[in-house]
Amino acid sequence: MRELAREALGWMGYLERGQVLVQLLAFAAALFLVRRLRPSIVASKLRRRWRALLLAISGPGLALALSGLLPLAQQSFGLLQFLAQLWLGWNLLGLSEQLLAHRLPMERVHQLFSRLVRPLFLLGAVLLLIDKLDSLNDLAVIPVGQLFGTSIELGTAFTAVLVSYLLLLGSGPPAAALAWLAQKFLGISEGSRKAMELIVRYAVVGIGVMAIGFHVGINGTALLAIAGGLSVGLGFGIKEVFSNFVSGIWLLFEGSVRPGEVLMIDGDPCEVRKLGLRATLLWRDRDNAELLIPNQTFFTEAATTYTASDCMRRSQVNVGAAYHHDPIAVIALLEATALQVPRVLRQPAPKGLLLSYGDSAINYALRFWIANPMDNVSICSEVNQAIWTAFKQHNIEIPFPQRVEYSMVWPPEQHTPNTGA
Amino acid sequence: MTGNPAMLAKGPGLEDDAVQLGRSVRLPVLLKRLRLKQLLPAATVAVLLGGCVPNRQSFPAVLYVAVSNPDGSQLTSESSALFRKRFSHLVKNFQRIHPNVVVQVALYPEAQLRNKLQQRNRAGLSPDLILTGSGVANTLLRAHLTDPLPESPELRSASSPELLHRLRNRQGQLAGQPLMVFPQLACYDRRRLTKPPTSVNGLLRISAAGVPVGLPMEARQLLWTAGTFGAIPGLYDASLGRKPNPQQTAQIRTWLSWMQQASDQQRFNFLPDQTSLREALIKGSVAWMSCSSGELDLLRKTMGTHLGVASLPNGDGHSASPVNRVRVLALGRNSSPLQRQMALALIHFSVGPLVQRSLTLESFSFLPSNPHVRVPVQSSGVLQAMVESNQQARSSERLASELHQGDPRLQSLQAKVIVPLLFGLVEPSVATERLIAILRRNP
Repeated sequence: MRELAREALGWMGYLERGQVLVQLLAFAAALFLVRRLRPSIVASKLRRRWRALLLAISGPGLALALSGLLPLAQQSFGLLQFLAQLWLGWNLLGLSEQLLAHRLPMERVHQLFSRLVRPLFLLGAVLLLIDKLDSLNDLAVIPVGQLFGTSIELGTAFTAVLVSYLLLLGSGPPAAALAWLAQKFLGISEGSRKAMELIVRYAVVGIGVMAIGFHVGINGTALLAIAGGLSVGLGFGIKEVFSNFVSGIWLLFEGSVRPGEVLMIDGDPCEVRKLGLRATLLWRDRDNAELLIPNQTFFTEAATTYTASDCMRRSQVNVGAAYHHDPIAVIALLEATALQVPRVLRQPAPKGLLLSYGDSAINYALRFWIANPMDNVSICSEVNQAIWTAFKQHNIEIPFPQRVEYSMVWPPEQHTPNTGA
Repeated sequence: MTGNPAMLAKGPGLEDDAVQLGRSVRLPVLLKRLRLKQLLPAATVAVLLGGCVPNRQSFPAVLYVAVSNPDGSQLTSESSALFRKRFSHLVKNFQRIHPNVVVQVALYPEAQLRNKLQQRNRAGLSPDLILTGSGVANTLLRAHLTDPLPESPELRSASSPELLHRLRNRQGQLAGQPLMVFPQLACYDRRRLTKPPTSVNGLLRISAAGVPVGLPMEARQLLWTAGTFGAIPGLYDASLGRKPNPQQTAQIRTWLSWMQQASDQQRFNFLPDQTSLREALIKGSVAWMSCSSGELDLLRKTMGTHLGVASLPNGDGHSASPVNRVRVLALGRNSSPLQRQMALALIHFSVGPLVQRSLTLESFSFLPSNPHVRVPVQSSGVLQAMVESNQQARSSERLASELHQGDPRLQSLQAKVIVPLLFGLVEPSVATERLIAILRRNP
């Protein structure tokens, strides 16, 4: 690495050359001029699309024009031309991102550009610049270290890291397409499709990593040593990691925990957002919290789900009515009231129940079905409000215990009842 | 150019503001008013123009050297380390005299050198020195990718006239200064061959006796065999566009017949290039091959003491005519005055007799280009073989300068004569006619 750092520092020596300085100054001048011109372009009456295009090409265009003038003064121009092309490329990337955002989901486009397109562009730009300053072939064979007795060269290490990154990022869409085709032609369930997608992705990444290992030159014995080390590691340190990984795959196949499912966690309904390599991400509506729960928790412990065979949830509110009201009429009113709440399902029909005779009221329960388990609290609130209104309209009293306070005189022998203090 | 950057970056109207604020204007307030975005371009200019400060001597001069690797189209960590090791000896000694010079070496596969130089020249980023083969140096000068070397009596005396002749263009300009000579030799495996053959017929005999022999299928690498049949004068005449006389034509035909005869032998292998041949010797699939002294380091590393080195076998009454590779230092085109000065200083330094002798004795892989350097042949069989090869090469010196490495006629020779001949597709007489016709074409 010291050798590489020395090489990089050595490139500063090009600044001794007048021809290089002139090109860099011309580029700086183009940057400065465009910064000055920018407000006028922004304020111009051109259409928004044309204005964006003009902003994107004006700077690089100016730099390219300057690079065209340099040969007239017997000056080199390749560096300025190269920098202008990079500038233009970068600006056009921005434009294409905006254009794509009109057609595809913004988040997807942003992910594509921030994780793949822009990093690749910058990487390419740096490599091309180094190629102008030095020999890439030569830098690629600089040894950077040893791995299992194999000497690793800079180029090999770089390729390995780059391919791994591309595998991790790029294996997603093909795996999704394959799983989609399987669903289309074989009729597998949605959960199996997602499981298949994940497994294909893991397989591609796994095979890719093996291929990279062979490309780097790691021999089979070293891989066996890694496998041996892993098995010991599985027994001790990384048992939990492996357990979570396998649990995740199993749950996906089983379909019990998959994105969109609603599970009860600590008494709160939570929606599964993502089943990851180690943990599952859930969303809790109550406080908009996101919970990361290790996959093996769902694998080893009992879980309550509202979405295993259907998405309906049976909900219940409790209410008390005075003793002098006819329970049959109260129950009928409760059932009719529940039906008036829009998000309460008609079928199965709401059911009113007389639960018990309390100290000050007869206790009733109203059971009803809702379509989305996550809406339980808000629908219960709506039902409770509707019951209060209905009871008021039908003069049904909701009794509550009353407390009467008396002042006492001490000692009790001196106390006179009902006289107060 | 040593002005205050803040003053350089001052925007319009700022001076008036400063006057209005009077002495109460403090530096942080002023810096805040001068926005960073305005300051940056000015700072960039100030830094860039830092190169104009008068005391330049205190800064180290960076000398960029491009080295071409003639072996194959790709570099390996071994070849890179080898070139760096060779060059670092020279640079370390040079830095004792010029401590303020930093030398940065970049290796290129020879096949890519021209393209890369074109790109770098266009950007003003060309290397200051290019260490490459004589043929490539000629091509680079012809393509205006290098500057001609300014001649001086010292440099002229540091090389033989024949070598300098190889590097002159039609205007008499020198494409570079010869630095080292890599003679063409015979490399063999001592475990399978105790004594190397001394004649080309002896080579056929050992092959018939079961010792695998290897030669590259490259026209220029095979020219040494032409000398053993006295065919070099005929080839030289043809390369100048003249028609060889009947005797010369017969000698060329005899040479080509020998090649076909060799190719017919089961254990006489013609491999595509020198790299394949070297690998074959290391693996043991050939026991004798023609090699360049530049390969000795890599062969020694793998074969150790089993590697035998000898001069190439002669013919009956004619000596072999090896084409020795000459590595030269050529000047890049974009150097600053200081870099050019240092580049010339390095050239002068590297062809000095003492430096040349020490370089030779450190590597035992090449001969000095300076004819005034005495090589101690008594102490080393390898050096002796190289010196013998250098003497043999005199017969092909003129032909080698006509048929330099980048000559398109060599490609045609290989494709239309050598390969069909070795595969038995054409008779030696037909091949002779084709060969003469190709050589007579003016490139």
